[in-house]
Amino acid sequence: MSNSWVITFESVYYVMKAEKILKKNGFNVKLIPTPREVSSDCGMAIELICDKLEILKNVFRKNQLEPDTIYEWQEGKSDKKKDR
Amino acid sequence: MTTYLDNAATSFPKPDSVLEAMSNYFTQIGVNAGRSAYHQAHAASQLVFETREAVAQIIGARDSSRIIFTQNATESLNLAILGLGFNEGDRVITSSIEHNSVMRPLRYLEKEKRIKLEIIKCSTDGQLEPQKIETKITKKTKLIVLNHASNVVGTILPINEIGRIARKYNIPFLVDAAQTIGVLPINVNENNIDLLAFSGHKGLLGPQGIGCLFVRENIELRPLKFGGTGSSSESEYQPEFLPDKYESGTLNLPGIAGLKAGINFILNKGIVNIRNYIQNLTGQLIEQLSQIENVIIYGPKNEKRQTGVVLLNIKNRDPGLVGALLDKEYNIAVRVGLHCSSITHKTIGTFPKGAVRVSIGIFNTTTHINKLCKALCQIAG
Repeated sequence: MSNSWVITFESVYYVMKAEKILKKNGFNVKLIPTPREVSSDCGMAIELICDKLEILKNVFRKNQLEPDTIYEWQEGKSDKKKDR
Repeated sequence: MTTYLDNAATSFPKPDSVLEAMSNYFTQIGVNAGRSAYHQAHAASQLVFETREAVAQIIGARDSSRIIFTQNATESLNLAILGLGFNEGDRVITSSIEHNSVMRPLRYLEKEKRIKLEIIKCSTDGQLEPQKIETKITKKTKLIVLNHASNVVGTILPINEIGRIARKYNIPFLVDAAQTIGVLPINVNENNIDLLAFSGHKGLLGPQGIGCLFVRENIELRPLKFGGTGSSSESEYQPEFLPDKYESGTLNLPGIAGLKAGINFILNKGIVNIRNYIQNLTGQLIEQLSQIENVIIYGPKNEKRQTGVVLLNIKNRDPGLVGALLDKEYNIAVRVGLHCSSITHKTIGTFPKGAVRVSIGIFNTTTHINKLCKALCQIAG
């Protein structure tokens, strides 16, 4: 089963940059208001489906993108997988 | 129809695509960027991001987060000059052909912070020897600030050579590109520029009210404005990351939409093609003017060494009167007076009388040049 992830960045500039790069890499990206369960600096977050966290991390590394946090996401329940 | 030859003040007309992009912003987007995630807000944030990327592309910057949106070139220059945080006794090198948007913040710091200004004298046609800058560098030199080309006489300064000198001594190099962005190639990396200030409404063909400052990675500035950024909202302190650090408050979104369309227009035409076109018209203008008796031309009188700006006077005629006659009798728009830069007029010998400035844009044609020269011939005769 594919996993849903919510990714946050320190500012909207990086959300927009990540959106562009992720789309280029074939991800189906959704912009959502940062969920309340997820404490974040920036009001906008990225939601996407991806099998493995490692794949995502690779895309970010290659493009020198530094997410604030990446969460495995289920509505009403967030599981913090990574926190910078 | 007016023959518009005041493009150094602002470019006119604007491409249709610029007007359409601004109208489209109001009808299709219309909301704030960087604060919310709903559909329109997302589109506004995308617009800002894409415009930043376009600006980065046109100046060769690798990281578009280092592009700061401001109100105009003046605000960009103030953010850079006031933001660097000088101490008493620090030295700043500049030229004797700067605009007041550079001179006034520097004179303010000279008075308030007791910095020492080293104003390098240019020749009477506005040329600057790069070596003159090198000889003035001391351990206390904290900034070199120069315009890329004079807004008064059009003289192009050798920023490439001066950038190399600045880098050699590790001194921040601020370039005022108000007169050259979009009409002369400029690359912040090749030219070793640390801070690049420009407006969106001149060579970039956008609307008034939008400007940019490029800030290199190792440069720290104190913000001019503090406030809401849509980020780090839990904190009462200004964020440290760019672009948010320097961009408090709602941005000029219709201006940003117009700027993006203006840049795309220029990228489609090609800056080198634009330069060649304006250079050619400038050559025609200088050639024709030099044949009119009683016309004095200032500056390099060489289209390769200047922008589309040509400064002139008619012997024994007040420049203000010449401007008024061109407007009233011939429907030709030029700018007369001191052009916000008394120091340049002092350098070239036209202070306090001033002069008539003709400035060519990409929508001018040979017909306009001929019409102006014919009118000046009659006024001078």
